Amino acid sequence: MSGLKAGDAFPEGVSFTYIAPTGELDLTACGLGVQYDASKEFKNKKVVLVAVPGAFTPTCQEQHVPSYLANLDNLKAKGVDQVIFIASNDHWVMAAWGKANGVKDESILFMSDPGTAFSKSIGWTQGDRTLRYAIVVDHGKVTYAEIDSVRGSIANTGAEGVLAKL
Amino acid sequence: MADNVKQIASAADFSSLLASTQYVVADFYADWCGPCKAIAPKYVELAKQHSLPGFMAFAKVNVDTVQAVAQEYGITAMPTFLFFKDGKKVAVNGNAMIQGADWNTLRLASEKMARLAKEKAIAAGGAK
Repeated sequence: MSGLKAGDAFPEGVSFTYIAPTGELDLTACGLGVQYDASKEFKNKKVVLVAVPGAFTPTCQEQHVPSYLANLDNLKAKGVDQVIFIASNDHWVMAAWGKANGVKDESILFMSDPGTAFSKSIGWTQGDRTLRYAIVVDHGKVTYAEIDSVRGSIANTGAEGVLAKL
Repeated sequence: MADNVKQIASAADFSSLLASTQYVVADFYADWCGPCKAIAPKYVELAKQHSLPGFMAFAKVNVDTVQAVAQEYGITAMPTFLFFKDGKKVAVNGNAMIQGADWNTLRLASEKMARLAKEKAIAAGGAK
């Protein structure tokens, strides 16, 4: 299978792992890694799923996450319930990346695509890492699915690019 | 009569405690979690002060070794303290659960449950 496209149903059996943010409790509580049943959760939400080659890697760190942080209100205005970043990194690294970006709540969730299982299933991987892609799932249906293959560019997968197509 | 903290070994263990004890406080923790270790000795003190077999118990559930119970109650942060009356999860002092090592809130909630447990115990004793 090569990629998802607008109009497809989001596949069944997709799950990621993540650590629920502990927000203000950071000093008094430890997060626990849990499984996120994406196929089930995406059936009743509008979600932007962004995959990046690696947490803390240059383009992702300097442009990608900031573009979403800056546009959360704009995305909500267009009915987006949740923004989720995934990468091949394990959920511990993803949780730390979220904290490094100052995200203490569930506004943006940082999850692991363990073994790049999901990304592999749609053919959007490069070696052990995922490609840089963004997918919008609206109540189970894929309404946007694009890759950015130009090095350093987030034209299709950054918040502005996705917003333009919502 | 004081008692120790009940270390839960399995889901069956937990069900059995909930069935045999009217009021139960449960501490969901992990060995690698700092805040859990910090509050542990205080939890032991609560158990020593307020446990009453059949009426009030303090349980500890390790989320790594007893995953089924941690998942059943949707635990996402440790420590999380849950409260049970007659086997059902209840809110105490307006808290459905306590997330994080919040000693004061835990102490007040435990003391409240302990008072209720003691009343039940006396009533049960008096009925004989």
